[in-house]
Amino acid sequence: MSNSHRARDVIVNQLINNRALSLLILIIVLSAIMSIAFGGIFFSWSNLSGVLLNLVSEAILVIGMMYLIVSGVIDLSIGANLALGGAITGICLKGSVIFGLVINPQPVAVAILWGLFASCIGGLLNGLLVARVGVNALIATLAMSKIIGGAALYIGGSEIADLPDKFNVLSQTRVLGFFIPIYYMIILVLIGAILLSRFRYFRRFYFIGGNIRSARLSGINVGNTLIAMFVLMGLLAGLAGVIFAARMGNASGNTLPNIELNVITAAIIGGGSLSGGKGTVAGAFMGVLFINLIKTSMVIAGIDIYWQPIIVGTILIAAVVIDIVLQERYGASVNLRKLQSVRRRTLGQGAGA
Amino acid sequence: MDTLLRFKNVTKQFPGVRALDGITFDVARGEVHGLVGENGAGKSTLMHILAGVYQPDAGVLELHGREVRFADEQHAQVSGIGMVFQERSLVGSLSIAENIFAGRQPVKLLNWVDRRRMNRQAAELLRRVGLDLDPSVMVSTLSSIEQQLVEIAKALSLDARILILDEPTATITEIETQVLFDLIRDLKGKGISIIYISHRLEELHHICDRVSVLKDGIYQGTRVMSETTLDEIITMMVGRKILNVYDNRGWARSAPILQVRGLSSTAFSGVSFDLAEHEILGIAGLAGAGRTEIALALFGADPYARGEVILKDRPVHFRQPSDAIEAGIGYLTEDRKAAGLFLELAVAQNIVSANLRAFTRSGLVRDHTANEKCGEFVQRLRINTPSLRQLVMNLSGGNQQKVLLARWLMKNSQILIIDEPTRGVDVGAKNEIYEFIRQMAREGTSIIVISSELPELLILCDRIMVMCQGRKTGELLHEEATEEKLMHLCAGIPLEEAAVERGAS
Repeated sequence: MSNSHRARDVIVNQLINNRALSLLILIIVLSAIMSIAFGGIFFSWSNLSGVLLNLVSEAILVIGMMYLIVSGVIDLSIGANLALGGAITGICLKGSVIFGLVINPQPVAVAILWGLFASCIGGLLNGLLVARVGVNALIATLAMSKIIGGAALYIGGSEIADLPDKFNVLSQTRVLGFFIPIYYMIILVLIGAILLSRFRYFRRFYFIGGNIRSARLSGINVGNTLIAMFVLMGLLAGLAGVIFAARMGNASGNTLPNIELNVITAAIIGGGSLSGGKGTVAGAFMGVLFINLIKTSMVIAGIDIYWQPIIVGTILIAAVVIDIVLQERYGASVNLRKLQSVRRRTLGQGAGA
Repeated sequence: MDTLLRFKNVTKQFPGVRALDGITFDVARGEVHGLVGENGAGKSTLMHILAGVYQPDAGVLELHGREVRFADEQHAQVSGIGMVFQERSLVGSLSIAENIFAGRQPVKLLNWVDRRRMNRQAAELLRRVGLDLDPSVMVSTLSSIEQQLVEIAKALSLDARILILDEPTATITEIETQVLFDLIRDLKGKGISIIYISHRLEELHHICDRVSVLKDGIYQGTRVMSETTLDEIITMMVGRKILNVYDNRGWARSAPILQVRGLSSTAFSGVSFDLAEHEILGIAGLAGAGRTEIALALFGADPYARGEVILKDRPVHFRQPSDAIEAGIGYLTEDRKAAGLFLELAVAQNIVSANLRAFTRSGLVRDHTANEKCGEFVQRLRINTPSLRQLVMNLSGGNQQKVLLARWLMKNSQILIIDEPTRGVDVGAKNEIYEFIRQMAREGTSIIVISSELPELLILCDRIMVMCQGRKTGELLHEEATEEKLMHLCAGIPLEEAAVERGAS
């Protein structure tokens, strides 16, 4: 086998198996094209900062969504849960009366904890429905998205305006020119990526999604792990809700509609598979970056906004199709060539023994 | 002999069947112990009990002379039972090392996976199973034998003293089998006991020290391999069965309606046979022999590479099932729940589903006529259902199978391929189904029956063709066919050799 062949194999293999890397390359290429075509409008700190700020919620949610997708499940209630977290934090900050219960204004930290707690409860209910009752995750979380969404609207109404500055400062401060939520996002994504790639507890997700029977046989408590995962998803939704509320200075019962579908789209583009067992947080984050970059580029290029969903949908299908084609065409041949040498060695040993 | 494991009077009852009845035998330390029996003999139930998946209703297991009762799979694992199931348990997108240590990866502080140590330990285990592979390679890139060996490495990582191998050679080639056998001998030398389940009886002589035989959930005996013959084992597996209600019609010798010549695909090669009018042709063989694949190729559901199919003197090549149906060929799937029935639809809808066109006028389905016709078939096949509107999922296995039969009967196919006609069907319904198959043949349909149950083929078929690993190994007319002969052919042993062996013993 020639060196150039081997180099090509390595590259093809990387492109097939490392979705984060191939997306990063695409992002760099697309950015370069946009910079050349539109210069300063695209390649400016304010644009970069704006793009990043806009994708904070999606990026935080996609961490948990990728955990779920790797495990072979899904959560459609995260948008509602995000709104619930923000709304509960909002009413705890402002004080209100719900269910005849008088809530006095709470300190910022206490209010946030209540918001996160509420979202965790939403996640817990998802987890119990899926892992204990045995409801299909899609149905369970679809139903919960209605229930949580309704509760969030009841509690938060259309708007809880004028949140206190002491709270808003958490999202409205700038550090080194960037708004602080961008730093929250980067830290969370980094932690989320390291947890999934490096920690034993989180590595379980791959076994649960890849082969649930084998996971059980390997001593993994599938039910408890799934419940913990949904609670973690709830916590991340709550965090995203709190950060978003502070950034806006108000909370409402219907924040960011349909964000769950955007997040799932990004996770799939980022290398996840709904049948479970594969995907990384890095890939998912690159998926979010890529979609938002495309959207921004279209705005800057002056393309009608209605084209955005059409393009995003096309990219989603393209990502899946490319995956299928590459696996069929190159996956097998690369592996086969690699294997033949391996097998020869193995057989040689076997015969010699 | 140094006994490691003893089954004592192990009994297991499932609803309606006594799966195991007082099984008693022992496995020695460092022995390869074969476990054989026909489908449904109870082998896998017994192994599931040993692996902690099921608990016995009566009887006990003794390990190292001490009574043990495994509450679950994990309990069995820590007690030194390693099971390599037929279906793989590996996750393709993870590395070999992670698969070996699934959920038990070596860790540093804070449960941070220690990849270096994990890979080092995995490499050590891979060496023990004779695999010279980088443990960080993804499992999806491995070949079948390599995955098999990784499974064994995984079992060894749990310090297994008893290794259960369930059909380990079902998916690997002959040369690879030698690699596996070398490993098994090596492990045996290290004092590990291996329980070896296989349908490929010819393997037993190569690898097993002793063999135990089960039949219909009853223990038939254990033989030392060097002191027995395959013949004896086959006789033990088959036992004496009183059957043969076959009424010989001799149709096998009439003019062929279907001729298959040298049919080859990835799953089978060079298969030729004829099917005569009125004939019932059986196809025997073990799982993976290529029987169903041939049916699917004839039916246009799977492609085939080479070969010729001649239907009534006209060469045909069906690209999709609808072409085959058009030409008068029907196929009853072996997996009626997944690929045959619409479980959540009514009996009538299931029956007419392949015949909608016949009941449609100007695009509208004429329910009334369809129902009338269905009613006729329900009566004719004696389908036990409260009404035509009953959902198929609520019927028994036998009645579900009859609904499928009705569908193809209504189609009036000239050739009907029936894959496992009585799987999961109780005895009463079985006989009724046999009667309908015969009746259809009498009325002019040519039928191919694929079955894993040899007695079934013997009482139904005018002629039986046997397959082994994708090749046709023989063809017997009803009057010359016996269960022993079929079993030999299924195992790939030519009949002349079998006769020689019998003469020698």
